[in-house]
Amino acid sequence: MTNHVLALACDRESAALYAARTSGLFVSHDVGGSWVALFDASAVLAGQMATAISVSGAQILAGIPGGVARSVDAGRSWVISQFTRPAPAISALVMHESGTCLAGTLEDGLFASHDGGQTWQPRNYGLTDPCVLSLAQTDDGIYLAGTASGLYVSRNDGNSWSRASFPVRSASIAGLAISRDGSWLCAAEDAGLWVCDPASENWSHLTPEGVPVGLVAASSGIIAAATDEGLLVSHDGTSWAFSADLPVGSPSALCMVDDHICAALGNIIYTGALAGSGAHPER
Amino acid sequence: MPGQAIVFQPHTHDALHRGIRQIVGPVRATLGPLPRMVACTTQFAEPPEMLDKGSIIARRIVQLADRDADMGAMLVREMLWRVHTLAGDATATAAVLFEAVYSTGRQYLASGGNAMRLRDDLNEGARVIVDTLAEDVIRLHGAEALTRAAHTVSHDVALAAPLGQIFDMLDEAGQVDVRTSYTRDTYWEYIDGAYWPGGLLLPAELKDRRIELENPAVLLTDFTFAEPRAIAPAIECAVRAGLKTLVVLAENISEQTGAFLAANRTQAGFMVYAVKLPEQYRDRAGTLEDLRLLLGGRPFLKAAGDSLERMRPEHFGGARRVWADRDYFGLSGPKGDAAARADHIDRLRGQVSRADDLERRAMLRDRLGRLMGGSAVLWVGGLTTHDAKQRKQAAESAVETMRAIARGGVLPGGGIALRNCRAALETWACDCANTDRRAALRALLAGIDAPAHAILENAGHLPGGLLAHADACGPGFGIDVLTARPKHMAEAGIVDSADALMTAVKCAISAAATALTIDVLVHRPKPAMALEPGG
Repeated sequence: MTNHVLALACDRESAALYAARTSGLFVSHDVGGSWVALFDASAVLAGQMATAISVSGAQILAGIPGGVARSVDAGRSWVISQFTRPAPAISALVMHESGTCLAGTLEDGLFASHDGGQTWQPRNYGLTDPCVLSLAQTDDGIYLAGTASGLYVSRNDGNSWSRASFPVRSASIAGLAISRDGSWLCAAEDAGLWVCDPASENWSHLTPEGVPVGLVAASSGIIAAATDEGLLVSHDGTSWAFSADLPVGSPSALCMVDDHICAALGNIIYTGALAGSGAHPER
Repeated sequence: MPGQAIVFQPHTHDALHRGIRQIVGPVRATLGPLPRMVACTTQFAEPPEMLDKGSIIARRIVQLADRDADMGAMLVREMLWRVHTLAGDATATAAVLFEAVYSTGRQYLASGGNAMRLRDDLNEGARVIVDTLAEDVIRLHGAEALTRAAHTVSHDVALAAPLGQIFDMLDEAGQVDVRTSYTRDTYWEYIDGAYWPGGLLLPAELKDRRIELENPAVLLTDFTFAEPRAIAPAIECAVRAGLKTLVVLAENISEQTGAFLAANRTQAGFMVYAVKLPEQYRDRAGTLEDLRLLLGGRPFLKAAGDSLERMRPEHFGGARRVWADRDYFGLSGPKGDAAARADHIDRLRGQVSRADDLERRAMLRDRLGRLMGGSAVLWVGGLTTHDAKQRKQAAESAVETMRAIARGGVLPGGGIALRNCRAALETWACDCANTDRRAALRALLAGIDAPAHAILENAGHLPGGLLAHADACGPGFGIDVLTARPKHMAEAGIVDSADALMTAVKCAISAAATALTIDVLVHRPKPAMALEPGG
């Protein structure tokens, strides 16, 4: 049975690393050294696939088939919210400290919760593509949704959406991240990695021409971009180098925790120091 | 047959002004948050119609008994209907503005001024006012600010909060249906996806049924299926392709076709329903195009000579969820090409912004709203059926004003935005020795003061002292007529739709300037009331 990693997330406070796999949700408190299965705490969730994660302190949201599982005690207990029929496939989750949570789905658009994930409603006004691939949020409450045909922005807690002025028409936005200075990083699969200054909405291309980028993560001024050839890392946004020790292939999940970068290839999670010492398989 | 009448000066201006006052008077009474109602007789001994919208009042005034005055009244009527067509609001402001400009302008003409040069200067001054207003436009963001604006617009606390929340979520293109609530409460609900009028095509005994289908294939046609054999190829194609559920969007189906579909529904593992095509007769082609872009697949159209004989599985469109009941059908999670849909939405937005006719704009906006992925239903309740009906009408009007606010922003209300243009007008005419321009300035200053005066007078206040008090408080201050105290209008949420106000200014001043150029009235002979047989 495959045990693919579908999403990775980290908690900035505790530096815990979470992995959503086809076999459930796992947490590591030693940067991938050892893993604990979190869904095993729930009889309903045990063995259930986790498709997406968002973590803030002890509060965890995990995408499961048809809905979202929520824990407010770091995974010791879970409450499940099933969404409206037909059961959506959750592809991305974000959580804001204001209590607003968003869940992106592959065919049903977006669902929003304004009570920390207890109740969810579809919120698709202005979102003309219901295939949501990625989500991101800025500190000042702007939400970004990357879809199979473009980037959408919400400035009212995810209640409605408008098409962003992304320079590549109908680009598939598979990865989104917010850089340290608040810029929007946007991985447009066939069009590479782009950065946007939110004040002026000026976009510039970051990665070398012709390199498709599937995912992006940013932390402490370092940007990592997942490509078909492996993981590109940049310390200044202009010069890029492939991360050593990571096999060739397009990572399926990516995140940065503390001073480490984590990437998943198939069912293996690789971690490496951000300083550039390379990535090492941990599981 | 009575002979022709021709009216010369000095009677022309008197006559026109008499008519203008006749129509502006009742419209003026409706201006402001404490308006008076206008009662209009109805046919068949029904109770009088209670009116509070300038455009409707003007529409009810069809012909004055005084033929000379009637010409003045009809000039105002035409102008008010134009304001209504373009902006849907601010007709009372336009009426008051028109009368003040005309009244002051004709005094100058009586003293020997040139009407044509005055007209040009008035139109130029109108541009100065509109430019100044444009600089003061405030964009409202967030439910709280929009709720305050909705309260000013509707004067109804229970309606303001739902309207604020709706327009925080939907933009000016959003589809908002106002319906009478089954309870006394006023509330709203968000509807995910899109829906249209046009319900299930089922036998009468099953009319109240509601269906909700997951991942159905959808066949889009405008056919009327009179014979089962006409629809059979689509069903065969769906069954061969292994589809579990099929929805056929059609103009209509015969009883035999309905029975044929019902028989096929009984087959294990396959469901088929027919749904009536949306009843958007004015723009059927546009609605079909919208549905094609939402659902994907290929439409089969009568006009194109299509038939279902060569149907292939890829001709079916689809959606994640389709529902239908007796009156409506809707869908969410459309499976059409999202990029093409986004381009189509951009095109429709362009068409909406270019449409200069309220009806066409409403029709295009209706189509656009249904493509946006969500809509709102505002349920309006009342203590009695009559109360609920009145509040529903008020809510429909408030929705249109809120839409204009979402589109073009707001300006300080209470007539203050216009009064704030005084300095710009004085600068425009400053040091000008041209007497026509000085006269235009006087007329425009009277015009921009008139709405604030009318609002206060309608509320039972004496305007002079109160407005002087507000002026002393600084720019942006006006009088809150509910408390008769000065307030910063924008901060207090007392606002007007910027689009509507600017439209009112342009139309009213331009029409008044043109009316001032009229020197002679010529009446056509009155037609005979009845013709003799064979005559």
